[in-house]
Amino acid sequence: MKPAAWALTVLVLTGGRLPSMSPTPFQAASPPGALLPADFLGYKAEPPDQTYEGEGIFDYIDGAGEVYRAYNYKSVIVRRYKKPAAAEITVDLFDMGSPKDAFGVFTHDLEGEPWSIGQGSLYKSGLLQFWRGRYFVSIYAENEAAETKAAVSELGTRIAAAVGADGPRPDLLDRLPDDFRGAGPVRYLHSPVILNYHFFVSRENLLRLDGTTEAVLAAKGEKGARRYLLLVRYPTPEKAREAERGFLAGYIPDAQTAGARRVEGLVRTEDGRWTAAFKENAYVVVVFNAATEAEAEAAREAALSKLRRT
Amino acid sequence: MANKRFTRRDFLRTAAVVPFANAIGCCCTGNKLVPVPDNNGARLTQISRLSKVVLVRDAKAVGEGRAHNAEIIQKMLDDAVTALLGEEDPVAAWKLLVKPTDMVGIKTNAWNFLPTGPAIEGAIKRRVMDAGVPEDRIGIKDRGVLNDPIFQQATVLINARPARVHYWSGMGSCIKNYIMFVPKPSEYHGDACADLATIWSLPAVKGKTKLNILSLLTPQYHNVGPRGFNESYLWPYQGIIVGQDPVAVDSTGYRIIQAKRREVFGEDRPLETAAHHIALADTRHNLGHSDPADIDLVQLGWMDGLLI
Repeated sequence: MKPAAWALTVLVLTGGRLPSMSPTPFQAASPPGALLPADFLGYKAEPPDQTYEGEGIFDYIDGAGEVYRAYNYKSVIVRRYKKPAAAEITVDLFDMGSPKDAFGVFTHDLEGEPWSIGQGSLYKSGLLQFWRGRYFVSIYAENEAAETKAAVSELGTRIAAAVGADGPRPDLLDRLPDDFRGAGPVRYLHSPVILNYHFFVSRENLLRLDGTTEAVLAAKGEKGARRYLLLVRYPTPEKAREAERGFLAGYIPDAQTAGARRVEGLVRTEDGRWTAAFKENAYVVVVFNAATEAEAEAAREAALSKLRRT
Repeated sequence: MANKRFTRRDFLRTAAVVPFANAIGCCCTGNKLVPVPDNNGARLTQISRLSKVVLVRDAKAVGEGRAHNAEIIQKMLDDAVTALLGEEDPVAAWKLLVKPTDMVGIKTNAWNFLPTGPAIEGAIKRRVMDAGVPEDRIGIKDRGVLNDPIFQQATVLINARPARVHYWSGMGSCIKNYIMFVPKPSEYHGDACADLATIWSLPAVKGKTKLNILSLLTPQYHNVGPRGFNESYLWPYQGIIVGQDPVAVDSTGYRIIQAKRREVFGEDRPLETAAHHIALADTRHNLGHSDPADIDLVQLGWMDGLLI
């Protein structure tokens, strides 16, 4: 990610507010089609809109539709805008069903230049993406030019105003240890598919992630030397225990015999880095890629301390 | 799923031993002859084990509005298959691939924005029928192959799809096209679809694929975000790659996509998702050859903008 992008990412992930935001509580908004303008800046909507639900999304965006399904999307409405001698603009308005999942799908792709629309927004190569309330919005211009960039921004501003109030971010973010907050990309997810996209752990779902679990994958450090912390919340402590056991058995079966002090859940992996895993109440935490045993243990202690305080 | 509990640590163990990352896009070109033992263990003199791949192009294959010229595409396919199999007559060549008693599944790609298309599908079907397979023993399908009676009983598969950058796998090409042969494709999305090649060892597929056809009529060389399609990132390459080794076919197509990206961006800009599943299909799963040094590339037809 470009350095400038961190400013907004940090702002979003630490609960900062943007000037355009409304402080009112999240409420359900109008039907999606009504949230999109019929025209703006000389662009006119090109009927008909298209709406996709469930597996229908694969007809629209192929296998990448799995991303939105992994965040429980309810529907997406697609509207195209045309203007003579200008690049076509397409809006995808996703009703994600909840602010958590709108936020989550936004964190799936954190590349881009910070933009001040909605509760978090990024722009890259003609593509503006933002979230607000339970909606995730993608606005895409076929060709990038100064005029289209301005048009995309104007359209985004209008849609952000139309979708209504802000929604809460996942409270799980508040349970991240301080040194993993705002230090690098932070993704909110439910699905092992999404986890493996950002950080491949295992082909098998060792951590038992599913629709009932919430997870945050936070990173810090430069690419190539990045440390990761995965925090998962399960519906019950028993489920967390099962997941921890599954992970220890499948990923670090050698953990109990590794390291000078034979600490359970701590192991030096084949690349010379350290992985640490533990359970606390209904949470499981895994630290990946620590440079040293001491660093892994420190990250574990920090995470444990945070969980006990929140 | 084969080798289901494959973890990051298995990957790290492999990476420590096998330097596979250079298998795609390395500077090696040309043919390589490799000595192999005969049945008695004696070493033979140099024998080729190259994967033969044919790239055929015609400047008029695709016209305005991406309209496919079925007649030209039929000729391109015929030229490619005859060159691949060393036959002069296309029907004779196809008779090396299918026999009248076969049940033939043509695995296509039906995605709305950039499908394989009826011209290629029709050209394949016509030659399969010319080779003696009755029409009612031929199926053309993408989604739903697992529940399709012809694909369930197929003795031969012909694999045909367009080349394009892909969100999960970096490159959508022939290896990736078999993702519909598994009940839950998302299980293969981890680590940029690193282990897609394992699908090729599943019973519905294993040993059945006689021909891979990668359409580069209008390939897509770039993408932004999860959105899969953008007309402005297509270009009329007007080509088809044909081979029996899906890895060699994909590797060749990938090199063309990379070359196009270098031409457009003026640098080696990495794909949003690494297409390492092609190299891993070779180095980890032994499905075929990804190194250009192991590929015998035959080029036919239009040569402008060849990029390879």
